[in-house]
Amino acid sequence: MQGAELADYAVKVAEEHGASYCEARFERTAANTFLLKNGTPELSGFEQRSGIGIRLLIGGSLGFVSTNQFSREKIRRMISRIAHSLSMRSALHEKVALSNEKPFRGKDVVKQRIDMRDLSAEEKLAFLTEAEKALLASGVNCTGRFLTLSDSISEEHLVTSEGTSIRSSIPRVEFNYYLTVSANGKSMQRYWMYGNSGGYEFVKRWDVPSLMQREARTLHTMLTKGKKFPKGITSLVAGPQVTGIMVHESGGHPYEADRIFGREAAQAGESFISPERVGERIGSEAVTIVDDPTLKNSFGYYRFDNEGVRARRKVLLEKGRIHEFLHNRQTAALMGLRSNGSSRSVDFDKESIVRMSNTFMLPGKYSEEELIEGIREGVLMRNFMEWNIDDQRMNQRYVGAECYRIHRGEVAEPLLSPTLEITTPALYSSIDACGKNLEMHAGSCGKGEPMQGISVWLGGPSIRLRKVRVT
Amino acid sequence: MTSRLDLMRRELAKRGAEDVVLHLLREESQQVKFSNGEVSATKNWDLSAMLVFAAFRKHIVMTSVRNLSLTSLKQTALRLSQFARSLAPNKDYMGIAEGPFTYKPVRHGFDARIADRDSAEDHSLELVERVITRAAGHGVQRVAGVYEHGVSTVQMVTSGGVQAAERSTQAYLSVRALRSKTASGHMVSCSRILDRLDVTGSVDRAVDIAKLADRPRSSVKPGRYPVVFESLPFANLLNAVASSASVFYVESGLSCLTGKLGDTVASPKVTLYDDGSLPNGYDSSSFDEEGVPRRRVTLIRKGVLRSMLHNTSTARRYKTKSTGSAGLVVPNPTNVVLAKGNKSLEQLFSHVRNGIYVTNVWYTRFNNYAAGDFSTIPRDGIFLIRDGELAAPLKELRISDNLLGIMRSVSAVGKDARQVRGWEVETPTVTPPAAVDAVRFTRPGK
Repeated sequence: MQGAELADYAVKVAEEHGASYCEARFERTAANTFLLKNGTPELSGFEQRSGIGIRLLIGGSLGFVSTNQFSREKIRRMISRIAHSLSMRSALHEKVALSNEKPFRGKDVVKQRIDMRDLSAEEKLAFLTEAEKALLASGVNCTGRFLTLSDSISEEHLVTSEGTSIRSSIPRVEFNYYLTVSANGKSMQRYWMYGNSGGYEFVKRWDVPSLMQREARTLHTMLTKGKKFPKGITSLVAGPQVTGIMVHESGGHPYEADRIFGREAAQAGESFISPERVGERIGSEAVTIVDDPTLKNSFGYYRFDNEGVRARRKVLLEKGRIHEFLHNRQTAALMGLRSNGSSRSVDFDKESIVRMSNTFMLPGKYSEEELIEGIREGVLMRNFMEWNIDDQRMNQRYVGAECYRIHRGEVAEPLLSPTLEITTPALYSSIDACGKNLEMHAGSCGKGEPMQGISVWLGGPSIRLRKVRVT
Repeated sequence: MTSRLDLMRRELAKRGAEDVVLHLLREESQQVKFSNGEVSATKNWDLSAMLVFAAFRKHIVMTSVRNLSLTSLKQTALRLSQFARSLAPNKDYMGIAEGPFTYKPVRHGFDARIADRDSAEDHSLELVERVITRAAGHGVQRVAGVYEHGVSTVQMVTSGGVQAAERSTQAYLSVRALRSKTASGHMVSCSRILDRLDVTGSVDRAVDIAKLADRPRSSVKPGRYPVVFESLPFANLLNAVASSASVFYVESGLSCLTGKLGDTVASPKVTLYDDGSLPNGYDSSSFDEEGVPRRRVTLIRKGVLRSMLHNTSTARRYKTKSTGSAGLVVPNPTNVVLAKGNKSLEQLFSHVRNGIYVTNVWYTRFNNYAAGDFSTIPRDGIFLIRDGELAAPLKELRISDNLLGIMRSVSAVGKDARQVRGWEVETPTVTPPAAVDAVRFTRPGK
């Protein structure tokens, strides 16, 4: 990869400037994006971006520099400038220590069975046109059709002053949609996305035309036949998409150790969890939540994180008890632990911070039908549109999109936008059974300043919540 | 570097591009991030790129080029023309602006002290130290935020005869003061010149809110309450209104202003502008992305929707004039401005018998953009207002309402405007606090 040698040079220059640690990441990303708005190809484009990000410790102070001007002089000058800044007012700087980790030398290459580079722009746009045709043929008044297809390949060369040297190449594909369905002077909207690491073989697997038709017809049914749910305490079965967002927001984010230690306090916020709460029960025995970057072809896949630490599965909540946090080397050192490989950045010009990868609830042993059978009166929330959570990750809300009343153990009439507003311990304590229908869904997780929207999977099975308040 | 732009324009024209818009950007910037009363990271950037928009008979393509060598530019022009040929045409596309234009420089848009990078970087740590020391002096040790500053240069040429260049500076301070996990205050300031960056005011306000919030918390029943919004949370809502004025979002079904031009969409107290030429406006510039001079656009006058946001292509399609709001694909607001009222914050409180003071919000999410139904979560200090006075801090509330419903319910606008941007305010916004008659709040079940 042309320019990659600059990463090695940067580490050498950083050491000359007194860096006790330096990691340099040369990254080259080629990306394509296609946008179809109501059938019109609004935007098609490609991008080739490359540059270097250098993270270093001088006198215990943390610095980061980034440029896409590939001259040794530029890199030397930038490192010299940051070294000067880090040495000024040294009492002001946090003294950063890093956990001891074994250096790695290796490769991480994800292959595409059907290479997106072999497809023409015409073929990629045709994929969206097929989705558009399916929507128009759905027999539903779909007044807003906003469809995007993106693909990218990110190649990285990561070197550290401790001897790590890793080359990686990760392709990703992604499809997003925003649909508006109108009827009787009202409308209903839904956004969702699909994503994998890999090639066009996954885009084909999503079967987007069928997906679009089902989504549009379901929205129409909810809009025209959905009844308001009478407020009250009830049982609720959440489908895998809802479980996925719940887990991401209140079972993943609060376990990010940089939030727990206050480093993101002015941005993404902090966490209701603190280090001394490890082992504390906040959920039922049925609930185990993990984060696992090593899942093959997942959207949040990586084998080595951006500090060169080997990725592994992390058990965040084990049978209802707080078990483990997501760490980079800095937060791991604060707890006297080893990093569990959770340091990621979206691009060469962003600092790596603690991130989720693929966060999901482990499946149970029941079919979704069995979960429903156990409910006399309740709600089935298959998916959702609006959601949010406070910045301690405690108070959350999910507004259902495709929802049905459960009556005497069976799925009955559609419900219009039933809403679950609940605290995190109440949510995880109310789960009495998990389905075996594990699904993974793609998301873009926002964190950091400048904002870094990073590729993740969020997932889980259908789950049954008892005695929750639905409005 | 102008020669690079000329070369690219010629290469694209040679390959059949009828419309070409090229930007050459360079940005040198720094962020000092602090948390727990210490500097947690210092980050420096020096980035450049050429942004390319080209239309080959309504076949629209865009790219950005980071490698500005002659070979790379020629290869990109070739690839763009091949890429465009394989695409279906955008029948809605109606071309770019015909220049040349004359431009007025943005008043207070450039500060030589920020442009002098070595000096600005040395100054930044001193500024952050002032923030941390001042907060500690007021009893708040745990303070977090960022100080960012940078200089950017843009050079632009288009096939429509535009040739323009501009150099801009920006400075942004975000301060969150934390007395405990549940008692915090947040304030930001942003400016194009250092003299107008409100450092002490931001720290003091964040600290004041945190201290007020550090008392036993009370709760209120879910329901509708009169609300006084601080500038920061009201800017979040005004961002959503202004973005809805973009014709692109109207056409996408993602706007609550669709079909409402000439209608009453807000209370008569609301007059809302988008002003791309605002003196010291954080994102002000002399020209938009296709070279049309930026200007003030009245979006809402005394509650009536007066204008949508257009670039040249959308304006031609709707038989109107560009509002200088390009985005070549998506017309967008630049600096949102709410016209000032005549009340102090205390006067806004004084009319509230039993209401709520919201100092910040986050995680605004729409259930239906077209209808304007959304929810957002008050963050940092949120307080009961009882008989015109601030009372106990509140907990666990969520605003669950309709955007236009809130705008129609604005009862008074403050007189002290603040320019804000940040995590939850993507488009810089100048707004005073505002009072709203009735806002719906919900709470989580236990």
